[in-house]
Amino acid sequence: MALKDIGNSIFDAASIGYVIAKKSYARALADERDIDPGVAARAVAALHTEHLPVRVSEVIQETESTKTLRLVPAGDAPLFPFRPGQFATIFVDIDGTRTSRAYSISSPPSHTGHIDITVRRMPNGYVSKYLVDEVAEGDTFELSGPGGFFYHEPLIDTSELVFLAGGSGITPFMSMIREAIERDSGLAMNLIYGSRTADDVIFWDELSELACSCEGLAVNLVLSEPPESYEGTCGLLDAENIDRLVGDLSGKTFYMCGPHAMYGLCGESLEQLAVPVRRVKKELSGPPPDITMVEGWPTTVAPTDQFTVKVAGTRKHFPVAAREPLLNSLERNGISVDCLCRSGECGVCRTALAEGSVFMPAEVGLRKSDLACGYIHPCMSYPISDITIRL
Amino acid sequence: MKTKRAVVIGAGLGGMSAAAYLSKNGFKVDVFERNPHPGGYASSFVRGRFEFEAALHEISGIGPPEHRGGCYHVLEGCDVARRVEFIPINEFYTSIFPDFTVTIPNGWEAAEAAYAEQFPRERKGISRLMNQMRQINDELGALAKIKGPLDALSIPRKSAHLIRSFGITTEQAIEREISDPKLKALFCDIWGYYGLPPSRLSWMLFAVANATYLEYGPYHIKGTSQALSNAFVSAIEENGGTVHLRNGVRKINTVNGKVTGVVTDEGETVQAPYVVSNANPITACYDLIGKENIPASYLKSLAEGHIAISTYNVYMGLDCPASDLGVSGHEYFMHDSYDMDAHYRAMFTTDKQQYWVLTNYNHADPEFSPPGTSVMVITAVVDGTAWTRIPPDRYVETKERFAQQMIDATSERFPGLADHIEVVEVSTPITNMRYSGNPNGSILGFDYDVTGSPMMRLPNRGPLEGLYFAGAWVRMGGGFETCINSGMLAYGEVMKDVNGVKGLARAMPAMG
Repeated sequence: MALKDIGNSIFDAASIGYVIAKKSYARALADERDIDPGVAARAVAALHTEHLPVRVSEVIQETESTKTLRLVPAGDAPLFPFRPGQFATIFVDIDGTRTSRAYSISSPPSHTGHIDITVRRMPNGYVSKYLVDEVAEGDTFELSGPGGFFYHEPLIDTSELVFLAGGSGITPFMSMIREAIERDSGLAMNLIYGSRTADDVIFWDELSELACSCEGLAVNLVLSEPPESYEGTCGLLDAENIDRLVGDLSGKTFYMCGPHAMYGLCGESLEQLAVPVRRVKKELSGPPPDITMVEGWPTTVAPTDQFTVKVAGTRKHFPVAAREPLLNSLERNGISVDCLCRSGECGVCRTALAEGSVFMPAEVGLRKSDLACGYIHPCMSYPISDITIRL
Repeated sequence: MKTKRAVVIGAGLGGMSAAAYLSKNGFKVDVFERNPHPGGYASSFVRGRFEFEAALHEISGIGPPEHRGGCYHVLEGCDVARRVEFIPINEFYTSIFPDFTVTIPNGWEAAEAAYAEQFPRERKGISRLMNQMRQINDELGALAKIKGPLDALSIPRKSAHLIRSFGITTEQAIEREISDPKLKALFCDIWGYYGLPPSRLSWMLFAVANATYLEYGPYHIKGTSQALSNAFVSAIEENGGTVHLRNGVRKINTVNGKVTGVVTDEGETVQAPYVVSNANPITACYDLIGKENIPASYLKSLAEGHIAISTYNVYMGLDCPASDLGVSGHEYFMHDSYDMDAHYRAMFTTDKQQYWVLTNYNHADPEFSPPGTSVMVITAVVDGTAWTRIPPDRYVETKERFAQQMIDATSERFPGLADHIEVVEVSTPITNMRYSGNPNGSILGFDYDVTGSPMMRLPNRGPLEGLYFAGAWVRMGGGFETCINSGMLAYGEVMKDVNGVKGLARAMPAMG
């Protein structure tokens, strides 16, 4: 054994003593005042709200079928920060059924005192009809924290933005446009706003005013059923119109928000115009109007088919329609599952499917291992046999 | 008939490992988890057409079928291993320093040769260091086989290297054998996994942790660590346990210093004489139990440990294969200098980091992302404190600035990277806090300094009768393998009480 080794051994022995002494000393000094167990919870709560009680402070009639509900905190908890383009989910109780819908926030984050959601009454709409026709100033709701990834992401998106809005899909763009202009963000925005008729156009006065006064914003209206006197662009958001209204496509980031039919057309158009996939962003839009038309729907199941849903470990069982999202069927039968996006993406409603099968469209953001282990996102799952779920 | 009831708080790896062992061994187990999916950090998420691994870079202690490691055996012992596909990663790590780049291969001999090839003059010192690490690990393995207090008397004779590693830092140990600062930086380069620079990091921890990689090789989990977490749930449920998701625990009930059960977020009271908390002990003692019910000495021991670092991640889905960007390996450690203490100091700020890692998940599993694409993650280990002080309205801006710096710095080494990002997601220590509830968003519980090495950590036995801990904050500490171990150790403590073990045998920690 070399002298060095002996030296090291003595050092090691001493260091063990040192650690023990240090540990005892630390304990003698340690005082529980050093611990603030709430730091993490407070930091998280300031950014991520679970469910926030809100009150309708104002109802603004935007068009015949569209209203903006201005929401303010109903309790002590302040409103949450969000990114322009994100949505929040509003929880409602309609005739004893608790359900929810996600709506893009139309106000900008810089207006910290309130959050606006703008709702169009959809034909056969359950919640939208309620929010537009029934809700009045002073009504209270629960609101989720912000969700979704439909926002300008400066890390990867260019600063020239093309907004492709269809109908009430204008709402997230209003938040983005208002914020960009108020903050003088330097973004170049080209809004191409497709609407059926002129009467359906939401936020028109504000948009045309902003387009005149702000260099960074161009607004192009595209009407599919224009009035006779109309001189603007007609038709749909197809390749020809996009090409003409955007001009040089390179270096631009495209954002799409609108009904399902529009995504098909716009998506194909952008592909045709050779816009790279990474330059195209698409907002979620909830369950498709007719699931049986979606690619992959099993031909053996008719739209009118009904199946039985059982809840494992309980006596609950009830019939459900194949064409209705399972989450909606559950809510109709008094079973509440927490959820956020209701479009298959966020996974908050993730549930175990113990028996039977469901159909989920390809865009559902299911984890591979969840698929393998039999988990589903009920907000975008359609029963195609009798099923048993575990809650 | 299952009559013994146990409740596990939190479905992280530690909690699920405890639950898997308990349910396999005759307990009726209920696991309560706040999140909609199990796993805690061991999870994945989907953005666009990409699924991202949330936390795991490479798991240790698995090993090939003919040479399985400790972690694999622990997973096997609770019916989890057979449900998971482990994919070997064919290299240990790659270091990109300002003036050289080296890939360290797997295996003791090959790794030693790679260090020596880069620094031939220090060949002998490198060899001695590797040898020491190997012996420390072997001795720790032998320690696990000690039977009872009498046998423990032989520890000093059988564990000379282990004991000598106990009180010293990694820097103290390596300085005896090697001298080139560049070699030191290369040799210690995965210190980020362990949360402290060599000048503060326990040598025992460094030696043992590196040894589990060198001995058994690093592994990736097919389908991400979410697949491992889902496998735990399957194992627990197959053995009669239940994992309740979206329903955490808000209170631990106690009567006269004894745990009687819990109250769930949904308001239900569940009676159980055995409660294993995977929620960190600080939250458990202060929020779930109430500090007035905890012995003061235990509160002191919570206050004396320093909370370890958290992580900052930039998750990237790329619209091209990794090879197009010159990324051919699994993991690249990058640095602005060789000064590891300076790297550590930067972690306490939200400024540009000087030490970070790029992980290419398609290396181990070419099917990780859709054909023609790849998934890479930039990770920096950072302290959570600075992030808790950012005003909410400045949070996004701060996190974006930070991410931009990380992407730019990585693009300098891999030109073109920034031009191919189709999907990006950023997580900060706040994100870690949100999903784990851990103070400071710590990924390792308390620091692995010499007073926090695996031997000195808080025990799995809690301060009250019927209360046990599993997870990063207690033995064996933070990390995948160690957390999985901790659950088994917590189960061991429960069994002592079930069997009425008393005295010294009860007080002595189980060795696994």
